Amino acid sequence: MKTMHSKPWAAALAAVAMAGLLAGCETMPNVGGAGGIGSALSGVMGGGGGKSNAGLANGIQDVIGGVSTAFKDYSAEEQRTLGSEFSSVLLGARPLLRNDAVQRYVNQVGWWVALQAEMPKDKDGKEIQFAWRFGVIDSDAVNAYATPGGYVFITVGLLRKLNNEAELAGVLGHEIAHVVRGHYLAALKKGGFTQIAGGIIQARSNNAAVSAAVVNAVRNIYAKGLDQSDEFDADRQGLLYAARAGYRANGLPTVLHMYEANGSSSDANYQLLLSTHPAPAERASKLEPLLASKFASAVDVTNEARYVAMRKQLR
Amino acid sequence: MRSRASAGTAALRGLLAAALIALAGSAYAQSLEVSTSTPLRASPALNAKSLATLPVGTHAEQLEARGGWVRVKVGTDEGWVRGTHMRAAGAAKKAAPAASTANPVTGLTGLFSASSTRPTATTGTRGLTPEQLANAQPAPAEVHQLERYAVTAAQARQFAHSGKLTAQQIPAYTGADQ
Repeated sequence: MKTMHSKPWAAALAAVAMAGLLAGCETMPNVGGAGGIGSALSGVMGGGGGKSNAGLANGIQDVIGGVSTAFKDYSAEEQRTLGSEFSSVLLGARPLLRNDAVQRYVNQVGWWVALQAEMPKDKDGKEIQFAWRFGVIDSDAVNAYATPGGYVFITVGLLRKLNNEAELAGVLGHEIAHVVRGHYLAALKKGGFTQIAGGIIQARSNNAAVSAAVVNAVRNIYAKGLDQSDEFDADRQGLLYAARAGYRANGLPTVLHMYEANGSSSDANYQLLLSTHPAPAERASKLEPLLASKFASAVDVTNEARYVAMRKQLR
Repeated sequence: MRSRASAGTAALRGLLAAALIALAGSAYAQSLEVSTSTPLRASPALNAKSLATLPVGTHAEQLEARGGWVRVKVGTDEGWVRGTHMRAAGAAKKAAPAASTANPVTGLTGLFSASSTRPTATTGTRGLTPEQLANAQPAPAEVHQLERYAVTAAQARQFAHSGKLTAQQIPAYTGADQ
């Protein structure tokens, strides 16, 4: 804290950051709460001031169109910087698994699925080319998450529960959708953390006051989770990307049914996953009609053998 | 009395054997070994009496699981251990040496361990709970480590090809897809 006072601008930035955190505390509990889908969607409309009169229909249209005003706020490089900082904090909670073969396997599946996604444009109208990084976190928890800028993480605990590469592709596709559709950027904005994001980009996190604010922002966003509507959107997109990648389409729905069967909020390993996502059964039920229509004629590759060979290396 | 007790024990063993046979086909192995040195406790609580300290590799038979705790039989002893400190027996034989559970940057192993004063344990050392997230400190060395595992788009395409995967032309969703 001493360094905070050595530079007046740093102290001012910290004050702004604290204001942002307080605002976040007030607004975040509405996510997925009694406000329901209408209020959740208002966040997608561009920052969620709560005064949006756009109806449900417009909100859904925006989700379908993948409109994310948040992308207009950051260049590709700025998103990368944000992602690196976010990843640093997330990996501070649990480190990466030290196994080259498993890490490279997940990177290869992930990047192949990511190649199937429509890339967003940055604030200058230029298509963003993400340098995708996939990391396996050495944790027994069952979860996966992403950051802005193309970082995606999955836990050892979840890899153990999956049966084939098609299921992994579905999970990674869901996370890739959060990245390319700006869901974390929207959460930053909605949580009132925009100034902190600006701070990261300006200071490159060399300043202690900025770092503390970033750490708090990341803890807040990942503990609270994203908009519920963004989770449903990521499910739909994840299904699409995995199918485009040539996998059996029901990978992600199978994983959601696994969460439904195994997940219990009293099980510490499922606690964060279940508290930050809509009910697995509801998520799966929204995908079922698509399996019977849009993806009815999709291919049937699961590469179970090479998945199981990889999984055997997990202790 | 003695014969009744041993008859009871035999019946218990029979039940246990039946249970183990019934579970043998499931994905969850009942034969466990210790993955992180851990106390064997008298009851499923972090402040329960420690009966013994089990070193890494100790073999144990799972008898029961409850809320992140597993009741195990180790030799002639029975007690409770954290499920996150156990793995399926033999699972580690071909695995790389266990990575340190300490964060290489912060060295904060203890921070992520369950508090010994709380009876309801929600935090295992290998878990990733809201509490652990709330205590997370930046680990830039881990971000550097992540770069070492990176692949290129070309490598991913080759990987897909060897897995007989071909990209499918499936249009983006429209308002008609419900």
